[in-house]
Amino acid sequence: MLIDRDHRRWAYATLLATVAGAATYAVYVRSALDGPRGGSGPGLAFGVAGSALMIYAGLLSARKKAPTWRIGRAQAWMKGHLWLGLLSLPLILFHAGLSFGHGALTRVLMWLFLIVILSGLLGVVLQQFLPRVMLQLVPMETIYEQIPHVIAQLRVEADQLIAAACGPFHGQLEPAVQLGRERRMQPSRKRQPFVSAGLLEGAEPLKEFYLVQVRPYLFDAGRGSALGDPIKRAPLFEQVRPLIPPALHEALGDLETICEERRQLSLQARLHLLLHGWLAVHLPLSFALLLLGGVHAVMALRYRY
Amino acid sequence: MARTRTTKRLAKRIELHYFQQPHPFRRLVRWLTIAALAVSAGWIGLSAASKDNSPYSRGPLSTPHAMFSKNCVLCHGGVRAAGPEANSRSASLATGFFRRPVSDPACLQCHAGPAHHERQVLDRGMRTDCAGCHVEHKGFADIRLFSDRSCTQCHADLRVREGTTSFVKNISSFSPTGHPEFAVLRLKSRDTAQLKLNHQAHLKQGLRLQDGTVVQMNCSDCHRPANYSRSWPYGQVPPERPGKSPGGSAGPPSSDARHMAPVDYARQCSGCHDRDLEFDKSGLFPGIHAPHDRPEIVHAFLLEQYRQALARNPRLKMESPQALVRYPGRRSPPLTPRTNDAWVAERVREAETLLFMKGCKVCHAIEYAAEALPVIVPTAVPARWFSHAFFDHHAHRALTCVACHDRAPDSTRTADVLLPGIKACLECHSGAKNEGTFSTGNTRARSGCAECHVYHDQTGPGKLWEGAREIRELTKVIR
Repeated sequence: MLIDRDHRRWAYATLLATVAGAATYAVYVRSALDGPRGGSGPGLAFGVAGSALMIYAGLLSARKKAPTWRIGRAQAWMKGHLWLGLLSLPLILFHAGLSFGHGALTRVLMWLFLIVILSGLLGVVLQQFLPRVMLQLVPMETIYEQIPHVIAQLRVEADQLIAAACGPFHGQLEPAVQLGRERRMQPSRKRQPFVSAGLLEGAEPLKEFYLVQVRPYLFDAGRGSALGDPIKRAPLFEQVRPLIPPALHEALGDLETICEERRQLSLQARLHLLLHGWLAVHLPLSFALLLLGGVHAVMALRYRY
Repeated sequence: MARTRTTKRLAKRIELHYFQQPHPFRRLVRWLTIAALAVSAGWIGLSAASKDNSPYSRGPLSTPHAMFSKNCVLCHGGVRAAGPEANSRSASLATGFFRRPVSDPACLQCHAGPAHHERQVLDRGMRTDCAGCHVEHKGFADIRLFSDRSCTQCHADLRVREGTTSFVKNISSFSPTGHPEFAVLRLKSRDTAQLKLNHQAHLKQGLRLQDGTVVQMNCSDCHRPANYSRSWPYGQVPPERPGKSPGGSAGPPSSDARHMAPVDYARQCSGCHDRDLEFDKSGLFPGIHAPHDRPEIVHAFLLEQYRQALARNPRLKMESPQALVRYPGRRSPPLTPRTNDAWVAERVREAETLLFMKGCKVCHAIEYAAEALPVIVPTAVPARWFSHAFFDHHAHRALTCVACHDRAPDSTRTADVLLPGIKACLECHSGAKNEGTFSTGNTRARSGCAECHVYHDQTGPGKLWEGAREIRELTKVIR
């Protein structure tokens, strides 16, 4: 979510609540007999408020599971998740008397809480610039979940392109790569767009270049391949171009486009992992935090004096 | 035909129900969530299964209670009060199905914790239960050092249920403005001890002893804690005699290292003042002094001494007392025969005159009575000057005595109160208050109330040490 002007009211409200909480905490600390404690009246109030905000922030997951429910706009929920979740940090710190806890459970809770907050903040920061970076670097982006599917289609498309230009492969393809899913994606001959009238003389270099360099790259776009680097890739294609007839130059150009799309999809996958990878920390630990927080609340109230 | 990327072509590449298929990243997050919840629940479950509540502890217990860190039920067991305490706030806290707070009865199982003052007034929010001041689970901090606010909640604006109080009513901190001068100095009290003691005479330079030795006395030559084991330079410890009365000492003997022991004649004074107890100038008893004891005992001692002397030498009764002192060129007075008793009585009377009119009066006040032995006025030296506080001399042993008792070397009268004022204490004790938290970086000594004052009235009998628990019961989790 991009932090823009629409967030100003939320930010001011959060700041105001934090200042009010800090002022209340200062008064409470001055009057507390034995220093700030989570079990005292004000300490409990801070704890309840902070926990309520944490629970609200956690409900975002449930809200996403039921997008059709009329319980507020998703954007509003997201803003609340962000700012109220952030507000829970000072409230919980006031609850803990600005300490990190001394018991095992309280320490674990504080560590979880800090990691959850920091991972959330990391997510917010990444969301501010990574989508724009992605827009610039990956103009051929597709739906993230469909990247493997689209890559498979690119391979099929490249196979057909070369087969149409250079003739059938006659078992030159590795059987391992002809997997069922790709076979299913093979369009029927009638719908093939790249069927050429006849095989051109001198197409062998292109076929060899495809089989030796391009096709393996389409399967595994590892960072070691020269085709994954636009600067190194262009000379490779330029070396092939004089070796083949001009009629195949267009096919060679299409093959280069496919390689570029493959590279961008790999980059998109990496950027997406960077953009959303923090969720792998944020989400599981949030649920653990809520569970252990509930246990802490029950046991602390039980033994509170 | 060149390869084109039309919207239609791109759309055709996407599977219609792709969002319904599990994605590896989503699956990973889901499994991580399940794992995190499982680990959390497993931890809690294992703790519950082993009946170990230590994960829920607010923090480590203080050193005296650390042994039962895993046995929460010892304190959080909901021990109910009995008798008049049954209706107290802390007792009501302990009686619940769910709640397991620490109640006063749990503490009183081992600790006496007598009340502070029966006339104290508690406003709403004030706490006087044990856990209100002695906050546990703060690590190895001294649980006796509680927050000053526990005291100032009342003493900053002191009120009593009925009548008035003699205590200062607005004590807020140990500072020139927040704490009054010590009562003895504030009220300009005088030392009413019936003992003639001139500190200046004892501490002056070039003090000459009766044998002619010149010495420089120090404060510690007379003032030491009771457990101080070095020998006394100007005294001796006489063998205990049956029936010896503690007439020379004032106050109860102190056995700890914190307080100065009362001055005792035998230990501190006898080395120099024994000659004041010589009772016979004729030289009949060389090296023998009258006991430093009650007149009755001194009288009996003198009778015994003279009777024995007469038994050893019956000719003594033939000589007048003056005859025993022979001067060159002067004739002795004629001998006058007397009875034994008459001679002893006469000699005892002379010895008592010497002692009670001169020797004892060096230090003591004496009341004379006709036809009876005089009475030594009890010295009544105060054992403690602080009646509501304590001072640890041992903790201050790095200092010279006059660093605080600066008026002592110039004091000539017993009535002088040589207690240092609050100003001397504040030179060091203006550091951290006891706020229930650890503080670092202090460059001054602590100045909390509990440094000098004791909340509980310790004059009672205290807790009997008749415990009934086994070591295992305290240290192991009870299943």
